[in-house]
Amino acid sequence: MLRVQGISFSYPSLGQEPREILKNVSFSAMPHEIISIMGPNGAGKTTLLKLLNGRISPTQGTIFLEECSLVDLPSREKAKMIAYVGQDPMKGTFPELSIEENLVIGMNRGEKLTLRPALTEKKRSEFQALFDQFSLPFLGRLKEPVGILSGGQRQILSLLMASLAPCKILILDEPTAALDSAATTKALEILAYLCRHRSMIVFMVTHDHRLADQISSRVLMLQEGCLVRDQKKKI
Amino acid sequence: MVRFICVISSLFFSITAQAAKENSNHPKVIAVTQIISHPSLDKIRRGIVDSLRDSGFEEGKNLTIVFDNAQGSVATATQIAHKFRGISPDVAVGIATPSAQALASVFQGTSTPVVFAAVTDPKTAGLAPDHLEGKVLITGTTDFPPVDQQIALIRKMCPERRRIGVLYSVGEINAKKQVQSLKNLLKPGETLIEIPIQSSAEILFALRHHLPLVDVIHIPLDNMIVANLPSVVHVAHAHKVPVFTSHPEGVLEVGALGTVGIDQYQSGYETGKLVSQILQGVSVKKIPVLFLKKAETHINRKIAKNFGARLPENTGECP
Amino acid sequence: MTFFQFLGTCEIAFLYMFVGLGVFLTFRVLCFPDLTVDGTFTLGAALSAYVTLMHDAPFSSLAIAFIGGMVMGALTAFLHFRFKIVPLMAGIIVMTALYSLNMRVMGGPNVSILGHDSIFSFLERQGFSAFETKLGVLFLFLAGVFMLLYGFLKTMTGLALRAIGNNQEAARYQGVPVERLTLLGVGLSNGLVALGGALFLQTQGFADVNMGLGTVIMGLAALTIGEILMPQSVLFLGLFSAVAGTLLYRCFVAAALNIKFLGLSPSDLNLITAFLVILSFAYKHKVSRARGVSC
Repeated sequence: MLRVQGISFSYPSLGQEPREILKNVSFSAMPHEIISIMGPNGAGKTTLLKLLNGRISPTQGTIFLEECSLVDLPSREKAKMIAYVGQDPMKGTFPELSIEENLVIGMNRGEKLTLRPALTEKKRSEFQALFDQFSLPFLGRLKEPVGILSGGQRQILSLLMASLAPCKILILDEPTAALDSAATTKALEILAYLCRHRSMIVFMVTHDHRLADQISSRVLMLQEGCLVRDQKKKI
Repeated sequence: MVRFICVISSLFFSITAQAAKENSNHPKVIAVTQIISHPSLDKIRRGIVDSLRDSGFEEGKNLTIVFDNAQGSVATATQIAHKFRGISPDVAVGIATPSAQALASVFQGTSTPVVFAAVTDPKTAGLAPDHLEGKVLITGTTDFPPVDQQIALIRKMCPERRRIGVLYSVGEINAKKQVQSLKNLLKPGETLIEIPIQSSAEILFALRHHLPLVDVIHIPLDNMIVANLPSVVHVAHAHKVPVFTSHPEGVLEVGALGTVGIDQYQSGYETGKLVSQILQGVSVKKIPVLFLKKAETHINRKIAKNFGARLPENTGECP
Repeated sequence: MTFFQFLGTCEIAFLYMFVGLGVFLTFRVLCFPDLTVDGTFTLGAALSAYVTLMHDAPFSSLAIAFIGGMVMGALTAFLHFRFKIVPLMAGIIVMTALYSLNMRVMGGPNVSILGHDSIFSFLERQGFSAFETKLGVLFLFLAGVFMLLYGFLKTMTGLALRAIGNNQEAARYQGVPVERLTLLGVGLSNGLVALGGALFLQTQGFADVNMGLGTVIMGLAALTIGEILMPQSVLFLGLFSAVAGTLLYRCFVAAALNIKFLGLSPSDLNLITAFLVILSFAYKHKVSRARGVSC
């Protein structure tokens, strides 16, 4: 259960009035909700994501996740609870590491680091099962470096990485913006599966109204830093 | 495939590259290693070669000299020592402490004698023969400056100048020991002020800071400071402070008041005598480490007059 | 070169392989250009000398040297994170401080253990020749350290380390403790280099305050030689090429000592070394890098 109460965020600027990016935004969210965050450029969507991610702290207001204040959580706990998939497929994965190594890192998100071997046969078979399930073309290519994959494939890999370890919040920043239609379909397939089978809150920033309609259960509309509309979809 | 061939041929090439044997028929071979090119060290080497020639061992006629310069790298000095062991010279000579130490380390357990030069403190460097307990046949010359004669000269020439500032570099192995020895020789009423320097860039700054606190500057055997002698003298004289050094040559033209030092060429010459003794068959164990004592005193009369200093008798001539 | 010279080359190559592995860890795996090693190599030798002379414990001195190196490496990383000092600068700062620190530990600019017991004395007393002992023991140490390092890079922690070098931002999102792990990585690298320095002291019998000068450049040159000449398909080969490159570099030095008529001399080696390092930066993409290393 996520409670966002009266958060504002402003960038301090020397000698002038601080620039207010977000003004007094409040809402709550429950697991299994898929929430699209929409609005024109500069409305404050990215900042809201960063706040939900725990990257930055609000200048006013509070964010409570399961009765814990988000800003007070140590970074490892935060990583455990919150998964993030960014807009740029190139930035979300590790190009010089192999596919299986990337997946292992995702699987270990927020866990304490040990001296156990990173890759085991058990993990490999899990990955293969995952590829089977979604009919992904990574079968048998586990050891290849991620750098040779296309942007679409890397974004799908990011989604898989986010899915391997359970999380309370999944944040997606325009996940299909850089993808072609085939990749988009695949990405949405994985996303839909995740939403059905995991008890988590999904936040998705998108400009694509069709996508928002297709997949989300609720839309938060931002304009000039204010939350102007909070609409639950009638199914 | 191409890479594999490259690797193998590089390895093969480097392994089979043989030391060029210039004149392998000569009965005597000496191998000389020097840590770095430096006027003092180069002088020592020339002294050794000339001394050998004067003893009858002439390069090209009945003597082969293999020479390698480590260009300041201790790792290279070690590889040079290994190369020398491979060619089994009659005598291995190490000029300056790290080169000598590399030789001592590599020639342990062999019958090749090692001779060191330009090592001011063989004991601390681990090169003293009794310390090595016969593991290495070693001897050499040490050129610890005649500190007693130096301070005596200062006392004779400028008795009223009692605060002695010693300008030295911390990276110089010999310097600290000389400073310590000077301290031990102080008489009541005299004080020693240390002016340690880490790099040549600091010299003038440190000098300006300390000059008001001293009456006379003394420079021990220290290559870095002496390389900057002209500026040191310039600044010191501006504060009306005379400068004494431990290096025999060149100081008088530059403006030092006096110096008591062991000539580096002479030091090399004496080392060469040890080497020729060994080549002539004398056992290394019978050749003790030679502490060079014969020092030369030079003074600059003109500067002495400027400072109102007394002129001691029996000193070398100067402008 | 003579057989003896070759053995000597191997001996010094084994010592500098520790440097090669350390430089590989910072420059290739972590992408943290670390210059501290010029000071840490000497520190290892200095600490080993101190413990050997004062406490007659040559084997323990190796451990002390390793720990000393780790602390200094971690300090460099700490300076970078805490005060936002660029890695190159942080390394230079620590290396400069180490110059003075090393002299304190050594009690002067030079120290010697010739005549004292070293880590090889026990075996030498059993009748093995000095050379056999040194090469054998050094090789065992090297092999052990190599396998441990490789094993470590294959663990979860090692993988996280490699992730940091590859994409620090993404690593952060995955909950990798970037600051702490970088401290560990740079610390480990300098620990290895210090261990090399300590073994140098034990093998050669002496240490000099200036012996560390140029260590990082030599390490990078060795890495470059390895990368040019060896296939780099997996991480293991990457590590191995660091080691092989060191051996080849030392062979070139030995060859340069021999072939005067080609005009090569040790002073030219610095030029060649610098050229190799330029090559490695200029042709980053062409010179093949080991799979799984980041820069």
